Amino acid sequence: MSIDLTRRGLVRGVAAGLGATALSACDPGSAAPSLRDLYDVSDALTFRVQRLLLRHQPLAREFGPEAISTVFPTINTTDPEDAGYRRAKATGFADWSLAIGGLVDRPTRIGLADLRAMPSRTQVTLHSCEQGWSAIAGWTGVPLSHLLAHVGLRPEARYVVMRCVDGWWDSYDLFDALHPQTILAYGMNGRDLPVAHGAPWRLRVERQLGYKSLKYVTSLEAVADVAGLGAGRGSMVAELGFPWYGGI
Amino acid sequence: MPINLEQTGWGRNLHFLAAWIFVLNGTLYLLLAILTGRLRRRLLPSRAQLRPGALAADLRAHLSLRGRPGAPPGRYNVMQKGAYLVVILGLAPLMVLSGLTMSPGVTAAYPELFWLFGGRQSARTVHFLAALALVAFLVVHVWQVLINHPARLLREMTIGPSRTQADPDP
Repeated sequence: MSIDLTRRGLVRGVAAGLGATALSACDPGSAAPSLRDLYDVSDALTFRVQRLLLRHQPLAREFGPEAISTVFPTINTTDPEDAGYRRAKATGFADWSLAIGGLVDRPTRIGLADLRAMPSRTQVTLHSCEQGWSAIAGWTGVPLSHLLAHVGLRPEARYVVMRCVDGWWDSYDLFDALHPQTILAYGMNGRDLPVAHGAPWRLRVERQLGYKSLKYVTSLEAVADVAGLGAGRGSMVAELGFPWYGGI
Repeated sequence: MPINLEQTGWGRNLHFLAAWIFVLNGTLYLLLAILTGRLRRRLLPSRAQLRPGALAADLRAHLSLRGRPGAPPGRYNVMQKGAYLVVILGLAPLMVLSGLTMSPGVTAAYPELFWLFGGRQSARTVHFLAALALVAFLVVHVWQVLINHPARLLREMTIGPSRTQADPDP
């Protein structure tokens, strides 16, 4: 088989295609597409393709304890200034609690002792940071799927919204929230989770970049939709220009 | 404030938008180049071009840094073909694969990528070196255009060679 593409023909075809696209985008009243919209297109493409690749819910790679990094960088908030947090830190977080509410049958507050009494999972995984670095650590905590079942997640819930003591917030759809490696971790490398890493507990979302694994989580809310939260982009970092879906 | 407002992510957003264009455009190009036989006809060096004498002559012509060495108009010289093949079949796939190895989502589906590159940080180094090589290719390529009748080459690249010019490659 030999199709001969002439450049002239190609140029004509592409010009016709672009013209048609421009015309179809020209309905009166719609704003001209901005670069931000174009980024939404590439982010949506990444999200769709990765959901297809991950449709069988594979686990992120796990390592043996020998792979644990000696240095695990800490960035952004490393010691929250919130007065209540400072007081809790001084008493070993004995009275600190996580509020669980929204579209659940049994809204509740749970503390460190409650979490430790629940079924746990330990996973040694690679943390991939948006900044480029990566580090391996072992995390021990309660699968979010267990917590959500414990409080009776309602069928209309589609997202889980997390808020933190330092003002960070993010949301996760159930595809990731119910993944077995998505845990609320209270232990790191066999010890209590250090303050710089989000004590007394942090989220681990292993198939996305580190910025989705929130530290210092104070509340968990099940919702049907995230459009009404903040600027409607689903997370704090999305409002700063980073994509809501961090699988890259 | 817990956040750095200067980190707006515009660089990474531009990067991933460009990456999708690169992947979609590159895949279409590669498929067409193979299916239409263009890769074989235009880019694989001919037996004559690969003879040691011809290779040496082409190399000398390039080292003299003067315009259009080696090949008749409309055909690629052997070093040019070599550079294109390295970019199309080597550097471009390497860019894509090493880039995907840095993705926590893609590597969950294809952990073999870690094995291929020896880990995320090695992939990051390979990605960076391949990008440097592509930039070097771009610089040399544009320079070669500028010293070889740029106006005529630009016309040939866009609307095609003039009809009066004999077609050397029917």
